[in-house]
Amino acid sequence: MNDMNVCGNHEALIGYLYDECEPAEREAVAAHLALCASCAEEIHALGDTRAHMVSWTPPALPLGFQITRTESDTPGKVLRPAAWWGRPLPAWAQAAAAVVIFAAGMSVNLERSGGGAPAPVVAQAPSAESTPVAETPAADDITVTRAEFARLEQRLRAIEHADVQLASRTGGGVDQDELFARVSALEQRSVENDRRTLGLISTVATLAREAENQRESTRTVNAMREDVRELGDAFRTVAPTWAVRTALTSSSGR
Amino acid sequence: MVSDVTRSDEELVTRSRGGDVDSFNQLILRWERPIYALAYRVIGREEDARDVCQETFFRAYRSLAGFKGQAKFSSWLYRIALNLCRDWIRRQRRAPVSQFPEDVDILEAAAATEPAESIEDLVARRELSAVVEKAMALLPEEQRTAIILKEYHGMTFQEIADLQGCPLSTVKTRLYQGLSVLRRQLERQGQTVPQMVKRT
Repeated sequence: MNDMNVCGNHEALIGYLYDECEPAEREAVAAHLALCASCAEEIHALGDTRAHMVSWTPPALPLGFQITRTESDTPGKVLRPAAWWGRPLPAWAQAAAAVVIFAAGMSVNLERSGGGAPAPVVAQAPSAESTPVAETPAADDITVTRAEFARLEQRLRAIEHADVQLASRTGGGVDQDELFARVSALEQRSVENDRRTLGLISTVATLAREAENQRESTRTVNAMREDVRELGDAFRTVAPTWAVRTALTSSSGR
Repeated sequence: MVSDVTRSDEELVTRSRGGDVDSFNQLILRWERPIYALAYRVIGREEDARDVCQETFFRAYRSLAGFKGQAKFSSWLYRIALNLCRDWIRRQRRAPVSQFPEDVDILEAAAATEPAESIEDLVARRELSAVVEKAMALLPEEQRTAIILKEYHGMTFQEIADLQGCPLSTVKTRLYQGLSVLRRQLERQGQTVPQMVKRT
């Protein structure tokens, strides 16, 4: 390798830098570096760069891996059960869900529209902070509490459960007419139950109102008694003075 | 486990292939540090490097029957590890970023490994280490890997060429270009070679 081949020959310089070249090549590069300041400077700079790299050490992480013997070196594929939301619903469950949604929709609709029948008056259940209901709501002014919705939901779930059981007994194989008739019957039953419940709630609300009125009367009586007692106390304080003044007036007049 | 230095890699491989798990664990004990260091320097994340290291030995154990001994066992391990690193880089699609655990004091950790080093030297070395690591992260994967295999694992040009599947001249070019980029980066950072890390 002559001098011209070394100058700018990166492969030769790298071989020399890492001392991984033939002795003859090494001698040729060394001879060139003695004459060429540019290549000598480059080799020196690359050597410095290598010296910098020594400082880069990976963090000391505890390792200690080991192969442990098991029953089988090739573990079988573990199948996990599919998530419940990923499974397809059976036909009876789909029908039950449809029934529930339909019945719930009809119930809400009937309650909002008054359902054609005389609607019971439903008042909000009295709470500790609530004031007594002063006026009687109008017949079409229906308010439904959260508790009533919860009861309605419970009943719907019971209906759903019964329907699911029925569907499972019949294997889910029902025709459209039969299904419609069943849905209608369930809906009718649900509406009747709702009316009964609303009537009961109305009665309870009325009783609560009466109880509150009674409590109010009691509070008024107690207040009057308190006033009488205070008057009595005031009279007892004033009475001796009045008696003395009366006596003095009588004696001076004499 | 006590290291068994009396047996060669080839002997331990033969025993492992015969079903001797302890022999393979000896190989792990012998090579887990270099493989972890390789993975860490290539991908730059210690936990991921640890995972790569674990997966390397797991794959090697599973594929032991296919290892016919044409290459050295260590070269075979390095190849598996580099393939896993390459997969990791492909998945990440981003430049490796080094990280030190948040709850670990760098100085304490370094001091624990090299208690004889003074605090000043320790700080200087850690700073320099961070600069080098940052500069290495800027290199293309092939150049970075070639430099790591050469500088930190002492491989020959030919071994690197075999591992990277490229001609010998390409390895030399990658080394030259990589070192040149590193040199410029370090100069830009104003780094001078401290005496403590100078090669003798």
